[in-house]
Amino acid sequence: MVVHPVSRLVRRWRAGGPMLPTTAAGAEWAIVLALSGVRVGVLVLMIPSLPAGVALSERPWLYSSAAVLVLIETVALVAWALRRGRWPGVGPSTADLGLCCALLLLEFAYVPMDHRLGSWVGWPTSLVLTSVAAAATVIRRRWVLLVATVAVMASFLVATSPVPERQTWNLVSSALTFLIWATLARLLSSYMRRMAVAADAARTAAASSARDEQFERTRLLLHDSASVLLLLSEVPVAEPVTGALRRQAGRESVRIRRFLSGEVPPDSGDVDGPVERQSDTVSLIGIVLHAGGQFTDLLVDYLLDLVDGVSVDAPRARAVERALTAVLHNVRLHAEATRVVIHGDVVGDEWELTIQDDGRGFDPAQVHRGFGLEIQVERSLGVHGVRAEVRSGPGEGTAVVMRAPRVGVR
Amino acid sequence: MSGPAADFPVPLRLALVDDDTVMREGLPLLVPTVGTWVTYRDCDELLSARPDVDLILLDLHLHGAGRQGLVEGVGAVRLVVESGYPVCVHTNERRRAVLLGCLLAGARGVVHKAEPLPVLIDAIRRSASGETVMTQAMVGVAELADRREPFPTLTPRQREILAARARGEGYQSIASRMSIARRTAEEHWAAVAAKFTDFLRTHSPADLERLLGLEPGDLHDWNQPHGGS
Repeated sequence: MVVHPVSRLVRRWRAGGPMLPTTAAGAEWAIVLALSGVRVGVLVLMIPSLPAGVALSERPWLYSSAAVLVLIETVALVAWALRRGRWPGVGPSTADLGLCCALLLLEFAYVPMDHRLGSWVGWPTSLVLTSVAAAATVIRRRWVLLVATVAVMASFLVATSPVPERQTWNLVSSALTFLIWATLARLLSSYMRRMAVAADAARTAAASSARDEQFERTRLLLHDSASVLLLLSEVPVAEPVTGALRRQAGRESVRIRRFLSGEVPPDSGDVDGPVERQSDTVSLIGIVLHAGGQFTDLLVDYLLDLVDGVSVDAPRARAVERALTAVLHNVRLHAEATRVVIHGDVVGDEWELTIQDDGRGFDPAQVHRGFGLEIQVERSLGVHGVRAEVRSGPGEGTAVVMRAPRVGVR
Repeated sequence: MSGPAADFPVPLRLALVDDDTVMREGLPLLVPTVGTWVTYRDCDELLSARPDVDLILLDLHLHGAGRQGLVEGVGAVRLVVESGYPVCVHTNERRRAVLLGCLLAGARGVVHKAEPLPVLIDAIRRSASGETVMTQAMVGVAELADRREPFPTLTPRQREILAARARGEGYQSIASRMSIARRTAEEHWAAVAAKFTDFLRTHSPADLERLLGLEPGDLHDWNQPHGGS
């Protein structure tokens, strides 16, 4: 069922929410409602004075015809605007302005002389004010709007200059009213439209950012799982590899279930890892051995004597374990390595972990590092204050170096 | 893995001592280009035959056939070395105390059976040419020893290369990073390895155990004349 735009606005208002959304369309609706309200308001204010105007006019039929013409045109304009959600464009608005100016210039023919100023019998002056305001909201070029406004002011002066006992300063002030209305209408409508466009852009950017973040979270969650599934799907796979992969697949499935239930972020540590069992700090060696223990199919040498006793706080430990796992997944999938060395050291107040493989390596200037190294390692570690550096060269293997301040060392 | 030793011009004369028949029959077929092979089940057979060879590739675990009373382990290394043969240990053993004991007993090198063949060939050639060949774990021990009691004659460049090798960095990568020739990097490393063996042989087992964080008696036990595997 098609709902009329006005009905939709009324429903929103009755539901207790804001009637107009803060969008570009909402801004146009605000302009439509303001202009329609002013225009209809002028017509309403005209009505009590119409019988007197007909009685006083030298050409009652012309006076009545002008009023009916204005009524019909206003109804047409407002109906069009309420249906489309925007005020009619430059053409109709200019025509409306021209019609109002013509009615103003023709006042000598149907409005009594002493009612052309300060009386609702001479309603064309008020009508032209609404028309100028409407035109100011749709005419884009400033000079066109200025010419139109000056033309209206001239029409007003021509129409009112024969009034007896007129005061020139009073006429000029009244004429300037058109310029002020045009300026204010232009400024307000422009500002509303720019605000609405900015709000739309902000919403679009926020939605895009949210989509990107969700995508990144999903990638973080599924990247390692995908590599496990890929290897499990390859037939044949050597038995030691299959065993390791099955264990990892079990861990990954638990991690995915925990993520889907909202328990943990996608970059959380392993479900039964050293971080999960402790809450304060975790031995760096424990983290490394647990992460490496998932890769029994890789030949890994652990040289960790120099980081004996080094501890890492729990959030950082989770990040390091996930990053280590991502690096070893990368080695398994891409490096074509025969061995991996995981070396720990303490340099000054920092601990350092180096994961070096003897695989084919790559040229960092030519080859993108990929999601695993760039996002799961560099960016994820960076969030937790761990600097990560990737070094590689064709035929020279790949080294990932992680460095961070030691817990308790200032 | 090419380098000074890889350019060895003459095919080597090699002896393999291993209780595993498949190893004795298979290894000479897998690496025929390195030289000619003779094989023995144990040290008694080797020393009875006294072959004229450039290097003995010696397994540490020699009682697989169920025979008792055999010399094996670090004791076998010491026995063969004292008989005048250069020895490169070929083993699955990964305990650092045992591997250090082999170097203390005079082995020129230690290489794991799980290593790819190019690594094994390189280790054979380097050991035969007099270089010290170490597993990655041993390189880590060398770095640890130097950190606890700095080798007095190690130059800053050699120490830099020790750190790089301990981190698993290959010679080509080291050479590129330090803007030196690969051969120069290999020569620096050979000097480091030699200084490490000197360090081992100039310290008592008790001192080494303390320095390297080993349990008291670990090295002493492995250095008994006929220690087991």
